[in-house]
Amino acid sequence: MLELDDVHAGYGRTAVLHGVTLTVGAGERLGVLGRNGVGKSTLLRTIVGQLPLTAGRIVFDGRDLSRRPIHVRAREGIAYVPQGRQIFPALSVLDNLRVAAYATRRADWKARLEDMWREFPVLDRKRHDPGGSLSGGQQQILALARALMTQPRLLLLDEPSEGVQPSIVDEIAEIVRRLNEERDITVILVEQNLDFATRVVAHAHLMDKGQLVRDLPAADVLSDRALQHEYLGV
Amino acid sequence: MEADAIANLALGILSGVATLVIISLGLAVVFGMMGIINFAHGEFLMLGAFGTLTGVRAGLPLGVSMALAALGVGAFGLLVERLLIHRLYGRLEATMLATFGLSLILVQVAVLIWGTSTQGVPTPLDSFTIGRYSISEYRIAMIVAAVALLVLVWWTFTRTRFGVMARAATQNRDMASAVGINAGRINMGTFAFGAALAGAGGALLAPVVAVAPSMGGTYIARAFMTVVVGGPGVVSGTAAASGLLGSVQRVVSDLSTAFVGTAALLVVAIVLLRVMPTGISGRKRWPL
Amino acid sequence: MGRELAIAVGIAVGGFVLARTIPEFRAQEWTQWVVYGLLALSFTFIWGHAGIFSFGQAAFFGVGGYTYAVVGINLIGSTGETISAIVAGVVVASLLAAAVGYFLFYGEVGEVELAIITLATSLVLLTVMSSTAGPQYRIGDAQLGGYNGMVGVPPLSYGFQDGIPMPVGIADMLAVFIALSAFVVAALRLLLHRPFGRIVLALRENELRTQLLGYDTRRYKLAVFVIGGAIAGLAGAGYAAWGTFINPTVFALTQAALVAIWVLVGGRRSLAGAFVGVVVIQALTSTLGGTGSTATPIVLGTVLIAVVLLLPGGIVPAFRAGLLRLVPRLASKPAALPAATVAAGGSLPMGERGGRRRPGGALSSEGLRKAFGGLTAVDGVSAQFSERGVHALIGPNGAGKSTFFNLLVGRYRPTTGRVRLGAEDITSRRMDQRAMRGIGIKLQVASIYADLPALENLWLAAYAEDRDVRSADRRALAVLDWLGLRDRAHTAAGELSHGEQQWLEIGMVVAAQPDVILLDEPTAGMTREETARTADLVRVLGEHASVVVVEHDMDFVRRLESPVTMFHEGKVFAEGSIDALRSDDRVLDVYLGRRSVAGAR
Repeated sequence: MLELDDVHAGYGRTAVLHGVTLTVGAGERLGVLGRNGVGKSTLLRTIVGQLPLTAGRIVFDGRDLSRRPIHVRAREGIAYVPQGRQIFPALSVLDNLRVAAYATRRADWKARLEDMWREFPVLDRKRHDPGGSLSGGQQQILALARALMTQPRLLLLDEPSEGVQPSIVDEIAEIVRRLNEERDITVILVEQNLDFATRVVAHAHLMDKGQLVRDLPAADVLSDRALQHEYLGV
Repeated sequence: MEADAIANLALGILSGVATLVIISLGLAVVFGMMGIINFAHGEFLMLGAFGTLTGVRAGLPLGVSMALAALGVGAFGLLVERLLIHRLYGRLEATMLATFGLSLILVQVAVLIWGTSTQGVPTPLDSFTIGRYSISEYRIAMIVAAVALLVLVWWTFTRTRFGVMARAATQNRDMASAVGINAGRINMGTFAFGAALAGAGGALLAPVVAVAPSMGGTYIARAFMTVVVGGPGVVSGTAAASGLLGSVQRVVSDLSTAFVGTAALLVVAIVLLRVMPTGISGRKRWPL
Repeated sequence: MGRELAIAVGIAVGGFVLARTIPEFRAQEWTQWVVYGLLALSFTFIWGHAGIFSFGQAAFFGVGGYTYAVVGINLIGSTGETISAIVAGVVVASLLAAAVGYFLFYGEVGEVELAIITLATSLVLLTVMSSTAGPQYRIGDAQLGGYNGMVGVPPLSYGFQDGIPMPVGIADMLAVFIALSAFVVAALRLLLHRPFGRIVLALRENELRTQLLGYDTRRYKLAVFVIGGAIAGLAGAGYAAWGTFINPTVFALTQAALVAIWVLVGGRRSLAGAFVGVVVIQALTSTLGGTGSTATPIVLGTVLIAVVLLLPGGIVPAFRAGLLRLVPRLASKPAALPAATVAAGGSLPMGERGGRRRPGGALSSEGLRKAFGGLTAVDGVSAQFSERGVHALIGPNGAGKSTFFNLLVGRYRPTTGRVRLGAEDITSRRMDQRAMRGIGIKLQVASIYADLPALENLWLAAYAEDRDVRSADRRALAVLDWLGLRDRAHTAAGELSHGEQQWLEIGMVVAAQPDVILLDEPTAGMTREETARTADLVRVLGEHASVVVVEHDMDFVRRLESPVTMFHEGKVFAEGSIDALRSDDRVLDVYLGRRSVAGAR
């Protein structure tokens, strides 16, 4: 479904991704792990289109998206939940969701909204409250729901457990698994919290200094101390 | 003071405030939503006034002329955004200077089309009296129009899909794009909307001022000060700043001369900016 | 210095000769251009060199002109000269610039607001002066004249001759103004080579970094603004003397616009460009038939748009670049550097501590707490750092170490708690104030002067502490050698590799000879080799100062061989050496995110 072919990207003169090659099949739940600064967030931002490629290709469902702008990639079915949630703080919860629905222009957004209220009752209760007034965990759920409004086929999550209280972290892990299993949404999860990551994904890639260096079953990461010291900054 | 004098003063102040709202709202939309300083704003006002003039001369009813003029300026704004503004996003000084150049061109083009002498659009409505004072009904209509425009802007940005998307794009352009919003298109629309509001402002002014190619320059300073003092809140900021500055200008003008009134407005605005650099609505979190 | 003066004298003499050889009507026209050139110069200086985008030069121009008129009319009877009126014009314009400048720069007004406030100032003057039509508006013998302006303004005169004030002839007026302009330009060039000028340039490039080095940027901006106001005032006085007439249109929008057009066309970074721009635009204007003609505004507006879109640098720089490409030998070569005294990575060249008075002492925090809305990022952290040595802060994302660091730096105000430097409570001090007290700060995102050479970056940091040019020269070079960047001395800092930029910034922090050094993730984005080298550099720093480092890279932390404090949920979770922490199960649990963290507090 998603193919990254020798992707290089960075910020100005600083190259961060030094040739990332990755293939993700439809329906997979994949983790990208590594310590801070190795390029995990940069990888997601490059897939989304917030950062331009300096070399390589990104192919989604057979379409070459390497030079396409962000909103086109979103309309193709790539949804993104960034680090820090980045919901629209001055818009109400309802408007946060509506904005995503309007934009991808599919006719049945009202039904989709109802779907969201059912799926996430906490958002239903706070429909008209401004996004900025929600707690960290609630904002995370809002960001997830907003991503879902575009009916994506690929969901990119950047450290969703950060800054969220433990009970909601559990909820989010469950939600993401359910989304993948019930709605057939492919998931790529970037995380530092290994415990959370291994509860969500089955398979993980390790990243170091801008490249993918290992890939292995997620459970193995938890048990291998040497691996943890080497790649995860522990 | 007797009741009729009070009523006259009150209406005078409201009328002054309404004028400020009318001339500033278009600029507030463009500055508040996109952070762009459009130095050709005065000329958009001027084109709206001349558009109205042309429509009336062609025999169209005043209201229709005004509406057409506003839409015409809006369309022109679209063109300006595509050709000029969108190449300069993020370059503050460059936008100011380029729109300055545009304003020079527009004034001269207006002179070529309509000549330099001032012209007028006949005031359609009558006057009525309160005590010893004669009040023009059109002034009342302008106050109503100002309120209507504020409501229109508020409604557009909170109830229409375009408006909500525009607000999302202002708050976080990258994430707005990530949910599928074409921010470039939205910006084009916002600028055109602001231009149309400016055109409407000029159209509304046409029956009560001397319409001339140089009229833009008379209003631009006050419009800028109102917008910058108002702060980021398009509706709340403009309303608050217009209320404050408009009252000051009106009261001082009555006590002295119109010139001094304008000077007072500018001075008060400068002081306010120093005290509240983010504008009146910069402190409080109004939604719009 | 001698060279600049020689050039100025040469131009003055050339101007004198020129003035005598051209017909009088040309001389008259060109005098106006030179006067406009001075006005454009004032804008080039404050905008091109200091980055202050102000529409107010027209205000100072007009004030200079009106002052000349008023003083001239009143004094010509008794003194027979108007030189005093010119001086008065400069002085009054400077005073107004000082007042407006103080208002703007000490009020932390933003760019847009500054542009609009200065524009409004011009327009206030326009409005006020336009309403002075009645006979009661007079200063001494001078009638202000409202919108029609002042009449009977005396021309430039240099004293009595046979009892009559003697006006300077038309040709001589041109010569005088050319000479004056040449000397003003020379003076500005000299100023720009002195520390003042170099700091002003730095301010334009990166104001935050300049503040963090400990310079009070407000004072520099005010000084620049007053100088710009003085030059504009001189131009205005000259304008009134030339035209023997002044009216409120000098304050109008079109005047402000014209200044911008001249400077943009000529090249806003070039002092000579100011005059080139004036000549090009004014010549163009008169060819089109003068300011009143129909084509002029359209052409001017188009020129402005075209220059903004296509040639934002202006004519002179483009011309210079083209010339250098054709004749590369003309490029000025940087002076050779003196021999190295310091080895790369060796012991740190910490010389005498400079003039600033320092409280001294170690950094500490007491009960520091920071809450953002409902989220408590730092929850009661008390820490004491030693006066010498390195100390590392680690912890997973969201643990609070970055927030704690920013509280030490001064980017955030704590909700409760105190930060102390020795005995002094610095909790309410801003970042630049902490920098002046001897705390060197390097934030995560490299904040350097990208367009300035690497050596200049270091010089600016060194000078902030030393305030002595020679000493700063030596120190900057020493740090450059210590970093091992000698061969990059004259390369623009933005051209350096990412790792080199980080080192350069560490070097800038070091060059200011701080007592405390705060580093935020210095190895972010570095290769393994660069990271190892950085650890070595930081260890050396620890011998001379108290270094607090926030880091994620465990290899780097281990190489530091320093005490480590680990954060978790806003509190200090564990302390000790990195090896001790690594073998602590509780620490591992936190990093892996396991919920079963017992006895964490």
